[in-house]
Amino acid sequence: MCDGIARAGRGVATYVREAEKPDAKLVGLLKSARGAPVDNVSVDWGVPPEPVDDFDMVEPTEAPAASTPAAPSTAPISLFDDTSATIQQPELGPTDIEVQLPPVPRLQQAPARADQLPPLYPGDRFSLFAIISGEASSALPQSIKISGTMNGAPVTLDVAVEAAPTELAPKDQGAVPFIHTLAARALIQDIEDAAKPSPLTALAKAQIARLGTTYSLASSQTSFVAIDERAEQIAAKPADPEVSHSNLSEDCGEVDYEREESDDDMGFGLFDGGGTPVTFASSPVLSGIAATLSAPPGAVSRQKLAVSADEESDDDMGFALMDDDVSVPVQTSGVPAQTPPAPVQAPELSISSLARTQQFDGSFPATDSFIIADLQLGTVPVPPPQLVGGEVKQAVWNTILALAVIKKRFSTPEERIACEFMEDKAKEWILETIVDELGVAGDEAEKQFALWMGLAESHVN
Amino acid sequence: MSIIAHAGTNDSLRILIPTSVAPFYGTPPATLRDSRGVSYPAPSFELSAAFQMAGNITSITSDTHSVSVSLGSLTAEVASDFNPTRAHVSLRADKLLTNDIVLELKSVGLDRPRCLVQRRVVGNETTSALSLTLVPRFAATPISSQEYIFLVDRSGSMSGGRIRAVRDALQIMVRSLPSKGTTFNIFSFGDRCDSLWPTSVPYDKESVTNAASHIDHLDANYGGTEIARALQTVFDSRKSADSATQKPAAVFVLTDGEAWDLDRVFANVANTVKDVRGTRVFVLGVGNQVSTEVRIFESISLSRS
Repeated sequence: MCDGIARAGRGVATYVREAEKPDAKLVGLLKSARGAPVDNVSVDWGVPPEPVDDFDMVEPTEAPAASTPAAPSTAPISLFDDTSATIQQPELGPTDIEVQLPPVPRLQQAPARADQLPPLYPGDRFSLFAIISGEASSALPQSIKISGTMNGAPVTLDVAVEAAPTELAPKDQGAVPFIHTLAARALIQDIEDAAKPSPLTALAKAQIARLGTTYSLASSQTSFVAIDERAEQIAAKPADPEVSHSNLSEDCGEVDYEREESDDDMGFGLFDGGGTPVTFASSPVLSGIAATLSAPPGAVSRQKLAVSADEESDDDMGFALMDDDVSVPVQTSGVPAQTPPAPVQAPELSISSLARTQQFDGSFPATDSFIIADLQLGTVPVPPPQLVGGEVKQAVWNTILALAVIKKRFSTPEERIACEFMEDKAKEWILETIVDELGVAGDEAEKQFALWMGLAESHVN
Repeated sequence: MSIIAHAGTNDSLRILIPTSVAPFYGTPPATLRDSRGVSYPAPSFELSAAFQMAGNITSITSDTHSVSVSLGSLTAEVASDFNPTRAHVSLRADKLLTNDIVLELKSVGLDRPRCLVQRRVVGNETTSALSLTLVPRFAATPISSQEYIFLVDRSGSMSGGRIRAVRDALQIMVRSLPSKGTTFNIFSFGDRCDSLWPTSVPYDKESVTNAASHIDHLDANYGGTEIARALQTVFDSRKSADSATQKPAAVFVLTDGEAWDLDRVFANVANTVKDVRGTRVFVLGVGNQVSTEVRIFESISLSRS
């Protein structure tokens, strides 16, 4: 559903799993939405345009009394076809309207129509398939060209064509090669999409059936018939609704009702859980180190965020060391102090908790309580002299501190994506404000910002 | 099976193998309704997948199942010639799998443009199949002025952690909108659909404050998932605006659901995008069971009805 809606809406679909924070994915979508995509995408596969097709594409509205069965043949229709009568057997169920299919075009591309090609977004994978019919002697295409427009300006990309690795070649003679299978599947999907929401036309059904049978694919029009050599034992089975219902895990190729009981070669767990981030917050080792530090009186306890082990190791200073002379970057005392895994009292510092405090213009509140309660810095760091006095100056300093906290605390790739626009807006606001209201020269603003940012970062460990 | 290309980072692919179809909301076609309630025997299940990538495979993981992975070869047996661009994944279960299998593969250079060709000769017919894939890298021109509409699924299935995570993400989103040239609105849907404002409002101090408190009160108390009507309501809210000054719009749909009659939804969205200049729809699927590939079943219901 999600893919379909995004495809129809010329946007992007993305997914988050249950245990995953949606922040980065959603901001990623916003990133796509804030920019103009590349539209009017087309691909030149190096195939000369089709000669004008004189094939009559008119859809038969009802079953003609005598027509040839669907076949990729252009042979003239005989007015008296001996075989035709024998095919007309009365059948149960829906009767298919028979159509004469046009021959397979030289180039079949999925998605086929130019207006159906998805727009290109930075970072959003774009995939396209084609099947080109040709002579056995014809050379493989050397390169293909993607073209499109962005805000009216043309964009192009040439991509070299490589031969698929030989490992992808089918092992059995006659089996369909892998890329053909994928391409045919995409072609079928494209035909089905094009028809929606109307039911498939007879021509579309015939096209799907041809693709399905040519490339051995199950589709809305084609099915595999399972033939079991022990048919007498299980003759009644296929009719059993238990087998035909919605479990996709059944094997299409060959029916095997024997349950595989042996599980001694399962080998589970080798790479088990590799994707789960490990939280070090409650590690007993860290608690031990923490116990040797004494928190300054009045320091607000801070919950340790889950970090990876190597981040933990880069001279991480305990905040207990930095409560006095805060305008000077704190010296490490040689103690490889760890941030104490403090008991959870204050609300967890998160990107969303900071988002809740950010103003619409990108600034953060000009209050000390923001620094203590929201940024969860133990103390209020002394601002640089130029940012002392007045609400605007405090807002600038607090916003710089917020940026420093965001930068230091949220450093995983996902967190970086989630914070990106909040940071951009905050920085933009700071630059504008220090130029417009604090009299910093326009060309000095970036440099001044970087200096203050460095100072602020030294207060955040 | 479907490949979710956009797994967040450019060097990873997420491969989803559905073992069942996520629960749909709405009235199923009569033919399917009758077949409900059958009991399933637990089939034994075996998955074997071989990966051959262009670059070295750095990892293959699954958060959903315990899979066994062997790097370096296309089969479960360790090959004598270790090839870092290959891997094999297998999974066996004697119980009915209750959720979809999600594999995440990381490989070097996955985002590079690539076009593979493979030739097939059957009798006197020769065909070449090409597969083109790339993750575009370009600096998109920012759109100077845009309407941002959030359509939030508040159906019962979103309750608990999901809606909480959505609330947090929305707070970040609202702060991340451009402060200039922006209008925005928040729609909620379930079996009904309503919005914070009748039409989008300019992005300013007051509207952001109101939106922020609105977001923190989003609960999963809207019943079912009537997505077709909800999207229509969103599109209608745009039609009422003065067409001469209308900004392009980005609609963000946040949902965990599935619904019947998707063809009508898709067609409706496609038509709106064609008619109303500059409307685009972006979708965030939430939860492990967001079915991305229900085409087989769509086709079945389509051909039977």
